[in-house]
Amino acid sequence: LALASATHLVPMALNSTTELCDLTGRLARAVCMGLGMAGGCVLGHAQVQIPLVQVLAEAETHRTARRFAEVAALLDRAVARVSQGERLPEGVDPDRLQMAAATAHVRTGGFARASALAKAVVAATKAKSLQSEARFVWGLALALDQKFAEAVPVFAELALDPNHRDRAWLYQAIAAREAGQIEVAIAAYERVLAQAPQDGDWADAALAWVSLQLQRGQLAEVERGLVWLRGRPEAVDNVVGLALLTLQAGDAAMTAEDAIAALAAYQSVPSKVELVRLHEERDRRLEVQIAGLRALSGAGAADSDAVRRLELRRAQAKQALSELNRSGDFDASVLLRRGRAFQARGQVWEAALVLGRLVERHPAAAEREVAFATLVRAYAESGRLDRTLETARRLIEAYPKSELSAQALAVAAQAAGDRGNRPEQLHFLELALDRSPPPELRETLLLLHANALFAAGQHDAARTASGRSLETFPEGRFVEDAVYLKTMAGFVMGKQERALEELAAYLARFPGGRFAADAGYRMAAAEFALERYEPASASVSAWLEAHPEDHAQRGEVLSLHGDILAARSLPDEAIAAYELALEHPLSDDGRGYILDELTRIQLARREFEPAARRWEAFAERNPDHAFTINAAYWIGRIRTQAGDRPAALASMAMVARRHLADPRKEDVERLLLELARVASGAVPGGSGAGVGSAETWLLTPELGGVPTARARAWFVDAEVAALRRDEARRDALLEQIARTCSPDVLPAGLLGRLGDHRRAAGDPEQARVYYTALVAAAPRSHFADFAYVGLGELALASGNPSEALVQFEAAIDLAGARFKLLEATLGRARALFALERWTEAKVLFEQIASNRAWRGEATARSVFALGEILAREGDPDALAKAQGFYQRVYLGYRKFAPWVARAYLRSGETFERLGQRTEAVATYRELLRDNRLTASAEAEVARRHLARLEGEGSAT
Amino acid sequence: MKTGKAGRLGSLPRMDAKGREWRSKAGKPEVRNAARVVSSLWRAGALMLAVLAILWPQGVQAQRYRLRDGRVLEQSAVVVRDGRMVVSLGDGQAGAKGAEMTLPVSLVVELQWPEPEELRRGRAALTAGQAGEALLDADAVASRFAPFSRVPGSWWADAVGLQIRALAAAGRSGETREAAAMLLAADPRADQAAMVRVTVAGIDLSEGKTDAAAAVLTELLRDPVSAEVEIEGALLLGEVHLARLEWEKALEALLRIPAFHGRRVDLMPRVLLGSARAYRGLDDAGRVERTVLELTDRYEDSLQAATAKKEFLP
Repeated sequence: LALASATHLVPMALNSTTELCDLTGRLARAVCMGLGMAGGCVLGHAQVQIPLVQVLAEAETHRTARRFAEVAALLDRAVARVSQGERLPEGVDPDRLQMAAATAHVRTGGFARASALAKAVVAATKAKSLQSEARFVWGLALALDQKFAEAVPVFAELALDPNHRDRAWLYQAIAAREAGQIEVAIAAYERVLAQAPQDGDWADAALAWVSLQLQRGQLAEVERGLVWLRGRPEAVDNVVGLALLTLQAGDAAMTAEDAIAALAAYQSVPSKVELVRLHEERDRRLEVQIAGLRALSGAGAADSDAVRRLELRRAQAKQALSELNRSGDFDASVLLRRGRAFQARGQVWEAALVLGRLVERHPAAAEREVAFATLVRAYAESGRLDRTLETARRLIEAYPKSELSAQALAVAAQAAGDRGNRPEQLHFLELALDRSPPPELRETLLLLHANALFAAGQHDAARTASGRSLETFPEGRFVEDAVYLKTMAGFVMGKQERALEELAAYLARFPGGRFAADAGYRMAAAEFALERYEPASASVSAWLEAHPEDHAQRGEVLSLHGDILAARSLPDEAIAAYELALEHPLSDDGRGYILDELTRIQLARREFEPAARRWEAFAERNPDHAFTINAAYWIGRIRTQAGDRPAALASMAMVARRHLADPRKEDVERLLLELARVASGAVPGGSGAGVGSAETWLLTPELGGVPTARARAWFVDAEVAALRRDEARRDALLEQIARTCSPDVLPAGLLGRLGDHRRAAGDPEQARVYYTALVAAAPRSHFADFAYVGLGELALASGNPSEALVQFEAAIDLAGARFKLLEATLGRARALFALERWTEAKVLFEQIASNRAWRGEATARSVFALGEILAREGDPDALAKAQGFYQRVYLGYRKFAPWVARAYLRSGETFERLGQRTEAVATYRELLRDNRLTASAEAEVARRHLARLEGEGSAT
Repeated sequence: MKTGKAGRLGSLPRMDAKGREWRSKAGKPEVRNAARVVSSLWRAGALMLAVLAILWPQGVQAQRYRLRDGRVLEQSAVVVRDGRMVVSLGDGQAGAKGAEMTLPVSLVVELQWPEPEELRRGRAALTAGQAGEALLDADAVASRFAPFSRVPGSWWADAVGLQIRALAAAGRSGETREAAAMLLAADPRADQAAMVRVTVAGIDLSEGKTDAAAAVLTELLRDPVSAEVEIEGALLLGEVHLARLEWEKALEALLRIPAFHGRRVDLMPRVLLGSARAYRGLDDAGRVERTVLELTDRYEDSLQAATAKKEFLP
C-alpha cells in the first residue's frame, strides 16, 4: 500500500512548500506595494547592489513562474545580506524571510539548507504561529532528507500547537513509521484516529494503523481497525487498498488459525466488479473535489495543501487498482480464501458452495486446481459421496498432472469407504496409486488399499495387497499393520491352521505389538473353529490371566469362553461365562449374541422364569438400548410359552410405558407391534382370548390424558384387530386416531400407518399431510419408508413419475426401506416404466419377479410388466417372449384376478400381432370363461376383439 | 440550425400524444395560453425568451425530461396530463399564469431523474413488513411515471417491481400475478425481470406449486445474477426444497446466503432454521445441534429462534 513510504511524504512536503512560496509571494508583493513600487525597481548605485526590495520582487516573479531554484538563490542572497546587517524594507520580518527561503529550498530539494533555516527560525522567533510553521517545515525537510528519526520529535513538538495538531500527529506517525519506531507511529495514528474528524485523512490514517498492527501481528487490533473502516465506508477513498489490506488481514488470521476472523475479513471484500465500480465512483468524487478546490478564486495555502493530499490519495488508489489488476483472477483468489476459511471452521457445506462457484465460474483461474482438491474434501466431509467422486474425477481430467490429485483421490476413496461403497473405494485408491504419489502417501495408500479389499470381503486380494505393501516398504511405518492385516485376511478365509502359524509369527515378531491381545484372542478362536476345545480353553484362560480386568476385549473373550463351554456341553459353566461377559464392555452385536445364546440354552432347559427375568432386568437397566425391543419380544414369547399371557403383557407394557407419551421415541411402535401380537394370540403358544382394550392394560391414569399415549393404545387395538382380520374395527380405530390427534403429537410409526390408511380410503390430500409430517419431523425414522413410498404412490397417481422415482429412491437410499422394500422397489420399477426407461425398469421387474420372498401380486405385476416391455419392441421374437410372460401370469398367478385379466387380453392381442388368429380367439374366450373376470374392463375389450375376429372369420 | 429563438422552436417535433403530427388549422404547431390560445407560434415570440431557459440542454442533477431533439425540460415547468405534457411558457413554473404549450409525451427520450424518495421509503417499509405502506408509495411512483414507462431513466419499472413485491407480501396473489405479467410484458431490465420472477415463484410456493417455483428459481440462479436476486431467490428456493423434502438442495440454496452474502446477518435466522431442518432431514445430528445452538444463542430474540426451541429442543 506504500502508505507511509517516502513517496507519501514528498507530496505532503510539496504542499507545504507551495504554501510557503505563496507566503513569499505575498510578502514580496506587500514589500513592493509598501514602497509604492509595484513591479518597479530601485535605481542602483555605481557599485551595483540590487536593492533587497528588488531582489524580493524578482523572487516573487520567479515564484510565479514556478522557478523555485531561482527563488531559493535570491532569498538566500537576501538572508545573507540581512545577516551582514543590511536592513530589510519596512514591514518585512527577517524570520519570515528565512522561512520563505527554507520553503523554497524544500521545493528544490535542498533539504539540509531548508532544515537549517527553519530550525533557526524556530529558535529565533517569538511569534507562536511562525514558530509552528517553521517547525513544520523543519520536520518536513528532515523527513524528506530521510532523517525520519530526527523529524519525529519535531512533529511531536508541533503537535502541541492546537492549530497544527492533527496534521502534526499524522506526519509524526508517518515519520515514525519510516524510522522504524512502530510504537510511536501507532500511538500517533491512534491520536489522529481518536481526535481528527472522520474524513479521508482519517481513513488514510486508519489504513496505515491497521497495516502497522498487521506487521506487529496484533490481529485483534487489525480487526478493530477494519471494523472502524467498514463503519465509515464513505470516508474511504482507497477502497481497493482497503480490500487488499483486508485480504492480508484475513491471511494473517488464517495463519494464526483464527478462521472466524479470517472469514469475517474475506467476506467483507467485494467482488472485483464492485471494487472497480466503487473505485471509479470515489475517483470521480476526488476529481470533483480537486477541481472544486482548484476553482476557488484566490485559493489559500490550506486549499492548496488539501489539493495535494487529495491528489496523493487518488494516486495511491490508482496504484492499488493497478495491483488489483495485476493480481490475476482476484475474485477467484477471494473465493479460494473464503472456501478454505469455511472449511477450517467446519462449515463444509458453505465451503463446497464457494469452491464450487470458483471451479464453475473461473475456468482459467490459477486457483482452480487447488479449489478442485479442496472441494473434494468439502464434499467428502459433508457426506456427499456422489459429488466427492465426481469432483475427484473432474480434477484428474482437468489437471492430469496435478500433484494434488493423489491426495484428493485418497480422500474420495476414504469417503467411499465410509459409505460402504467398496468398489468405488478400491477404484479411487487404485487411481491414486497410479498417480505416483510421494512415498509417504504411497505407503498409506497401499495399506488403505489392502484394508479396503479386506473390508470388501476380497480376503485373498487383501493378503496379496498387504504383501505388496510389505515388499515396497519393508521398513515402513505401517509394517506391523500390514503383517497383521495379511494374517487376519488369512484367518477370515477359514484357513485356521495357517492362521495359527501366522498369528504365532506375528506375536513372535511384535511381542508387545498393538494387536497382540487381539492375536491371542484370535488364536483361541481359531482353535475353537478347528473344534480343538482343550487348546482353545487353554488359550482363553491364558488370555484372561495375561490381560487386566478392564481390557476392552475381555467381554469378547469371555463370550468365546461361553461358546467353548457350550460346545463342550457344559451349559451351567457356559451360562456363567456368558453372564460374566455381560458385565464387560461389548458391542451391541456381541451383547445381543450372548443374550440370545443364554435365552436359547435356558429355553432348551425350560428355564422360562430366569430367561424372562434376564430380559426384564435388561430392559429395566437399559430403557433406551436398541435391544429393549428384543427384550420385549423375548419376554412376550417366553412368558406366553410358559402359559402366562397376562404376565407377558404386564411385563411388556411396563417396558413400553416408559416412553409412551413421547412421540419422538419411535422404538415404542415396534414394541407395540410385539404387544399386539401377544395380545392377539398370534405368537407360539398364544391364546386367542380377548384381553380387552389396550387403554385398560397399557395406560396408567396419567397416560390416559396424553394424546400420544392414547393414540398408541388405540394403535395396539388396531393392530390386534388387523391380526384377527377384523379390518372394519382396525379402520375405525385408525379413524379415531386421525380424528382426535393432530399430526404433531403422533409418532412416526403412526403417521406412516395413518398416511397409508387415508390413501387406501381415497383421501390423498390427508395422506400427504401425514406423510409430509413424518418426513419433515423424522426423515431418518425407522418408519420413514412409509412416507417416501406413500408420497411416491401419490406422485404416480397424479401422473408425475419423475417425482415418484425420487420418493421411491429416497425410501430405499435414505430410509433404508425397513418395512417397504418391496413397495419401494416395485414403485421404482413402475416409475421407470412410466418414464420409458425400459432397461432400468426391466432390471428391477426381473429382480422382483425372481425374489421368492416377494412372491405374490408384486410378482404377477412384474411378470406382466416384463411382457409389456418386450411387447413394445414389436418384432416377432420379442412378441413371442412377451407372450411367455403373459401366459406365466394367467397360468401361475390366477389368484390375482386383475392381472390375470390384463394378461389374457394382452396375450390375445399379441397372438393377433403374431398372426395367430385362432390362438387369439381361444385366449379371449378363456378370459370370458372366468367368472371373476367377466365384468372387468378387459373382458369388455376382449368381447369386442372376439366379435371382430369372428366377423372376419365368417366373412372369409 | 439557427441559434435564435425561431430556429430552436422550429426544430421542436410536432407530434401529438399518439405520435401524429399535431398542427393548428394554419398548419403551425399549437401553443396555448392560460387565458387565450395563441394560434400562431410566431405570435408567441415574446414568450419564447422565457422558455429558452428551460429548453436548453443542462446538467443532470435536477428532474428533467430530455426530448428527441436533445433539448431538456425542467420538471417544474411541466405538468403531465392525459398523456400530454403541458409546458409553461411563463415564468418557468407549471401552472403559473401565462402561456402554455402542449407536447406529446412520446417526444421524451430520456428522464434525468433522481430516485424518488417514495421508492426508498417503500422499500424500507416492505423490509419492515409494512406491505400496505410500501404499496402506497409504489403506487404513487408508478402512476407518476406511467406515461414514461418505457423511457430510459424512468422509475416506473422499479415502482411496479416494488408494487409486485408489496402485493405478494400482502397475500394478494391474483393482483401480484397480473402486475408481474404486465411488467414482464414491458421488457424491463434483466434484474427487474428476475426479481419479478422470484416474487411470482414465492406466490407459487404459497399455493403449493412447488414444481413451478423450483423450476423457475433453479433456472434463475444457475447463472450470475444481482446480489438482491440471488439472496431473495436462494432463500425462496431453499424453502421450496424444504417443502419438497429435498434436503441437500435446500441446504445448497439456503447456504448461499452465508457463503456469498455473509454480511446479511439479518437473514441468518431464516437461513439457520431452514438449515437445521435440512440437516435433520439428512440425519446430521451434529450439525442440527450446532445450527440450532447458533440460532438460539446469536439470534435469540428472533421468531425463528423461538420456533427452533419448540421444534428441536427437549
